[in-house]
Amino acid sequence: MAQSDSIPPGTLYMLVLKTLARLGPMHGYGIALFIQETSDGVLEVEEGSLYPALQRMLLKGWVEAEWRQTENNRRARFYSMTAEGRKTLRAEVQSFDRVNRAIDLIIHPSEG
Amino acid sequence: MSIFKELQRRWQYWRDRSLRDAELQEELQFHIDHLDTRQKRARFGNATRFREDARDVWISRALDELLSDVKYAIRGLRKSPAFAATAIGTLALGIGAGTAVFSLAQAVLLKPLPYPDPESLVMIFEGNERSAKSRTDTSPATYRSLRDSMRTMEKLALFGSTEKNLTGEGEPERLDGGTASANFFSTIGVQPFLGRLFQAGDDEMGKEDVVVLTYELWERRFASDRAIVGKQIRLNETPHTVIGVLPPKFRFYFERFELWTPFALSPERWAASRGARYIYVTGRVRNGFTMAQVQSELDSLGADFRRDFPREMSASKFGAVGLHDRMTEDTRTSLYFLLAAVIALLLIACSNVANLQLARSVSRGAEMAVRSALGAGRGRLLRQMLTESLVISVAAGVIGLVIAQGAFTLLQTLVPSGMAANARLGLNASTVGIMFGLAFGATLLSGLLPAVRGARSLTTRAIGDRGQDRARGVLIVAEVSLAILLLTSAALLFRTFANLNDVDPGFRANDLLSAQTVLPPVMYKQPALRTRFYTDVLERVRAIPGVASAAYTSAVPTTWKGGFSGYVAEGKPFIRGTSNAMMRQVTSDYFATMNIGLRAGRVFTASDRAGSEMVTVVNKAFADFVWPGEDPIGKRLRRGAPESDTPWIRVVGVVENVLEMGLANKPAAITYFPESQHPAASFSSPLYVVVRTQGDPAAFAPALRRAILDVNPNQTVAKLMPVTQIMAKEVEERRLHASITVAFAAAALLLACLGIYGVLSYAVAQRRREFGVRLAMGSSQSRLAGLVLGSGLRLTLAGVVIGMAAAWALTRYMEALLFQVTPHDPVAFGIVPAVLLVTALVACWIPARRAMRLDPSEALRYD
Repeated sequence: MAQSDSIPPGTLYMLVLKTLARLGPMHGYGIALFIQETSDGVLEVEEGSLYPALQRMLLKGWVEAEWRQTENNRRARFYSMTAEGRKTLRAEVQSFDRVNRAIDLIIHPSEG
Repeated sequence: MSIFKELQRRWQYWRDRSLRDAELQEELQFHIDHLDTRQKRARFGNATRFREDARDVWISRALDELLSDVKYAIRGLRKSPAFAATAIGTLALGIGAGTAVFSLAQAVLLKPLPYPDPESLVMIFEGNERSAKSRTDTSPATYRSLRDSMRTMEKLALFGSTEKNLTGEGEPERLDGGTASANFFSTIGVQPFLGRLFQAGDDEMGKEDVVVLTYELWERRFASDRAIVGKQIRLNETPHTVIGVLPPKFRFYFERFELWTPFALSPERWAASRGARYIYVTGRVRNGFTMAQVQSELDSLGADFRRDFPREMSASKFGAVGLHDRMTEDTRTSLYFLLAAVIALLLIACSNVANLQLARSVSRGAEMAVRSALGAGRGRLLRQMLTESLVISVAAGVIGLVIAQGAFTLLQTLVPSGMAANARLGLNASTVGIMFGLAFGATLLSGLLPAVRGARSLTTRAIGDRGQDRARGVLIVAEVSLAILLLTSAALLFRTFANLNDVDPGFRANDLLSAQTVLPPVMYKQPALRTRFYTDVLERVRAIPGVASAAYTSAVPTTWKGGFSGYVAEGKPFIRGTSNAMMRQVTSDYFATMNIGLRAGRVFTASDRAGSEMVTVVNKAFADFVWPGEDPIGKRLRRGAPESDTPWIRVVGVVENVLEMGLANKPAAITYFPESQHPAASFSSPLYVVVRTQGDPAAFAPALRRAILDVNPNQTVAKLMPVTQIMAKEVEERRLHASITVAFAAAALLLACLGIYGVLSYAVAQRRREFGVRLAMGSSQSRLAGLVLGSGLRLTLAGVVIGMAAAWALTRYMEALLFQVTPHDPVAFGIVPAVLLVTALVACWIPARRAMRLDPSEALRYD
């Protein structure tokens, strides 16, 4: 089900949280679209991974959901970030940066 | 704690799962609708799987994790069977007792009565002004007035009790029946199983010879004959047409009624019935009115009644009580007490298991450290430890169900009469639900502290820290104080039971046989026939070898806590309401047969006949009340109210008090009359034959029955049993209280001592090295033992002091359950701590001795 060049495991939560931090309350399709567009089409989020992830985040209490009308008058479930989610995002981003730097040090060893 | 919030969210999801599922579907549909055709095609048929994956987050995965935790827990428990057995056994005791008592409480207090809209059903009582709590029956005439004038009540029905001799096919049988107004069944809202129930007109004079059978009587006596409707049966020697059969288990207010007949009176008797209080009134509150409004209407009606009927109702005051409240009010105190006791027992069991787990979590520290190093988070470890508690609790709960099953028979006695048919205790969905509820409660109570501590000690790596010991000490103190509480109440209830057993009922119940023979009025219209029947039966009974004497009486003591009537004592003021005494009619040998002591004057003799001077024998309570400090012999009194023209009756004797009102109640004033001088049928006409036997009275039962049937082969013989059996019923409830509480207290004592023993043994094992050093430094072995003993006794003493203080403060709530014992009974409060301290000493001594036997060289090498 997962596409070949999909999102590295574990980072999807962070991406969703970051998206919500940027956009405010948004529905699942909007989140997927934003991630895809912002990453220049590199990161494609499948429903098969997006919705379970959203459910898990609901379970963890990182996001809250609410049914609202969209601009073209359809009902959609909008997700928004909780305080817990904000905390998690901060922690995730920090550890992501740390790991990234570490990987970078290994993959591109600086000659100096 | 995020793990609980998570559990809560999972639970919410599970609760609304169909809604959540629909939401997911809608959400996915919304998403797919926005995709282009290529993307749509790629996802063809996958939507369902996406949805399932999303749903799995909440349910399946949680279940998987739970299952793996459960497997892990079971593996862990099997590795330490001693721990598992002790923990499961301890909790099984608590959960089993808890399930039984909670089921009882649920069945009695929470389960609605089996009638439509049971909350609106109320009982209306006529009491008197002196005591608002006294609830007596009311009169037919007053019922009519209430029915016609009450606006806050929608329907008002009358019912009462009647006794019927059923003759015809099969053995003649004495049946308790109900009698009710025509609107009774429609007021309650019951539908017939067969035929019809009462309808308007059934309760008119001349049309009242119809009968409605209970399902059980129909089954038992008429072999479930579906063609019964329309047939005639003989009740009290009068043919009655069966019009219908009630649905199974239909009971109302009284458990014992097996059939129902319409309540009918002639117009003259309706009118004259104002002062005759012997019927009950039930009805439905009109929609929109509250009980307070019903009561205030009754208050104002009561004032009208007092004004309009000064002769019969000068002191009347009415009260309305919800039917359920009324039916459970005598049992509620016992139930609350049992609930409190079983909760205490459950808490002890939980803290004991918590203690065991604390000790275990220390010894499992290494295992936890490894798991933690392998990446298990704190939350996960916590959950795992809680899962272990859950496995223990559920296993204990299942065993507990077996214990509860055994207790149900015992507790069934505590279900109020009138509810018993519909509140059968046994294994059912609600029992199992209660068991699981208690098991989950026990999981949290016994598992949370060890789990949190376990997870914390892991992160701090401070295994076996002082905090751990303190926690265990606190648990022991709590256990001991709860045990003290239970022991104290057990001691008080046991003393109550012993006191009741020691009460002198005023007669000798041993070697006494009794039976009830009701004479159908139709056959005994002529008063002389009644006297004749009594004489004939007694003559035959006396001829039975081994019978010392026999007599007839209105009622065997305690079987009829009524039969009060007014009297006028010559030269004394008549005070309505207080000039009331029990009326008993007896044959001349009654006092000799019962062994009722004569205090002054004489008892009845054969010369007290119809036509000779009317005489009475009164009891001491009556004499003391009417003629305090005077000699009552020779004084005169009259039966009935002052305005009645009954003849004067001379007091010829004073006898000892007989506790007719029950062993725990004050002796009532009683007046005895010779049956021969009051031969007309009345409410106090003799019903029971009593026989003083030489040897086991039960052995004389067949001979007594034969003697009665010899006189009249159609005579019913009911309640044939030794009088001791009747008296045993009086103490039955207290005996039950005492035995249940003693069992609880014994279990509590055992568990508390196990707890003390466990803590001390563990401490000795842990301080082995320290003790070794001390020994090597020259400390004596007995001093070490003293050290251990001292630390155990300190905990025990703290528990005893707290427990005694709590008991001192709480036992007063049991006052209603006690008899001739104050809630602060010095004996109970003296013995209980002594018993506990001695037992605790034994529990401390074993580990102390172990400390004493330590070999210093070995102790130092250990570990």
